[in-house]
Amino acid sequence: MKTPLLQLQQVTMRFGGLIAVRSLSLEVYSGELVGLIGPNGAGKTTVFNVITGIYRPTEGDIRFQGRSLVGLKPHQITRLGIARTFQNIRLFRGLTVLENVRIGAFVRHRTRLWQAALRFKAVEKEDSELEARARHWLKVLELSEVADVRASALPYGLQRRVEIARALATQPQLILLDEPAAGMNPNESEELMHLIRRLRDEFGVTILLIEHDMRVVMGICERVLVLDYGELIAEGPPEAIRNDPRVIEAYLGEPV
Amino acid sequence: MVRQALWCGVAIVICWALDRLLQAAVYGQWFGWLTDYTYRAFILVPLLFITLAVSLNLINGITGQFSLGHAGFFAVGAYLSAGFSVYFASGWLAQVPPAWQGAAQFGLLLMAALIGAGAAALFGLIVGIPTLRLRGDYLAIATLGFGEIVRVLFENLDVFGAQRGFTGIPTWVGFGFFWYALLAMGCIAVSRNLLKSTHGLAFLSVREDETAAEAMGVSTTYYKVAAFVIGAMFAGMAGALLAHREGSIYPVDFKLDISIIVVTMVVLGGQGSITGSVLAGAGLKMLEELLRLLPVVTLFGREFQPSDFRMLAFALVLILTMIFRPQGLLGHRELSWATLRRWLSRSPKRASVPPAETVWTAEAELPPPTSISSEGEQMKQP
Repeated sequence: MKTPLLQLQQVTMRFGGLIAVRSLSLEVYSGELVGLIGPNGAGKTTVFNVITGIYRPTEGDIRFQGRSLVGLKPHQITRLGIARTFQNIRLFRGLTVLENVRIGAFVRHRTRLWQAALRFKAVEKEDSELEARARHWLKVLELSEVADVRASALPYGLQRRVEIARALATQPQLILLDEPAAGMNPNESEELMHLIRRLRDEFGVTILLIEHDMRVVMGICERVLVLDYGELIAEGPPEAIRNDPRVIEAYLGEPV
Repeated sequence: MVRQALWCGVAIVICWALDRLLQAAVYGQWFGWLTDYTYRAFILVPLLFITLAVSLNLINGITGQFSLGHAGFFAVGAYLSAGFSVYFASGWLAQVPPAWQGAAQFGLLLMAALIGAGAAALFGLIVGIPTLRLRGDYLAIATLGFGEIVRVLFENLDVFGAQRGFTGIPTWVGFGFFWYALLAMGCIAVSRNLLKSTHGLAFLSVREDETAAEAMGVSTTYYKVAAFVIGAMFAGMAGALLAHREGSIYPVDFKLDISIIVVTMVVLGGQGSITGSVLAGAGLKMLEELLRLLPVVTLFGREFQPSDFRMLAFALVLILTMIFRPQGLLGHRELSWATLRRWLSRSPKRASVPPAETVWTAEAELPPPTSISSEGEQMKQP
């Protein structure tokens, strides 16, 4: 059996008396498209925050390509190849779409700050490379036309796409999408489903996504993890999850 | 490297030529209004404040770390460079043969300025690290405290003249325009270079959203501290020049007022706009001097010099900016020849139309938002 790309081992996240994630173990393998679902407050976003280093897990270990992520800062984890989007869109609102994505591409920079202060040739060269990379992702996500628009001026659905473009520009191996379809109408989320699948198929990015829109989750994920009260209650292909009594109970309550 | 050296050379030649020209004009009394006083008040001091405003803009405007401690960095640069000159460099200079005095002075001044810059940068580092955990108001309070601590320290250190002021500093800067202008140009160039590069976007991303910046691989710690260090360095160099031009410095020169005035300049110019800081820095300082030219007024039976109210005027400027143009005069934009041309060509015909970048609307370019209606349909479906 091959080693997982991302592995959570008995991860517990406690906030004072509240246990948001309870000894959670899960694996994501390279090239997979995995969904993470669960009722509100199940701890899904906390799992993302623990993986990306925003929180340090109270207990347990997180391994990415065999390397422990515990104790690393978020930017170090991003450099290792994990990118994410946020549930409540966190674009750099005052900057243009292109600038947003350029910051994503900046993660792979090699020039030093003092070289930039003195405007070395190497910096100019790198800047144009980074911009080309950013424009490439804008093109992939069909955002080229709004490249020079301020992020805050974009409609919601486009802002979500910019966030994905920005995350992809960091050239991740694993991308964590936190409710990418939230607030989208059925047409938009349909489009998004194709896009997500395309990212995996064409660019080989492993995807772990949190989603409430079951059509999206069941439509594209090969494997679904179900979280309830911080615990993994079910895991398997979408069809099995759909009929799992524990999952139905978690969402709808005990049968009367 | 060649290009940088070339630019440096060009800047030096320009500053030097202007310096000579100004010296001739001031001492030769070419114009009635250009006296030693007006030269100092309307050229030299504004240049110093341009440096201070542009360097603070890097911290406050571009990186979004609200600092009220700029006078502290300014003071550290002034006092420590002056200390070096008074206690070490003067002695060294005395041993130099007369023929080499000029060159030695130049070299020692450069050294003093670098020491001032280095000391201030070190303080920037010291202030930058603990303030990483502080945001917004708390950071402002902590940096304000730093500035006051520095001032009180110099007020009580006898080697720096304590309250009597530090006097007898060699006035190697001389006429001053050359050095002041060179420093202002250097500060503007470095800020512009940073802002133009992708590194500059990293500074901006810290201002916009720290969590997202970290998630994009930007080390927010590094860029925050770097902003403090670079900003402090230029303020320190400005202090060094001030000390070596005036020959004496006093703790009152570095009061909280200075920090507040510089913050006002950054806010008025537009946080993040270098040209805005330049315009506001020079403009406000000149305004302050103009207040001094107003006649004395008698209010409630007492005489007042209008410039006594300058802090009131700055407060008013700050408040009016916040009410009528919170983004500052230039906002995030820069004043360039292109924007100037655009304004000029547009103003006669349609002055009321907002700038192009703000008129873009979602409705104009994209299909109308259907989410509400389709959500309604969704509700009906089951």
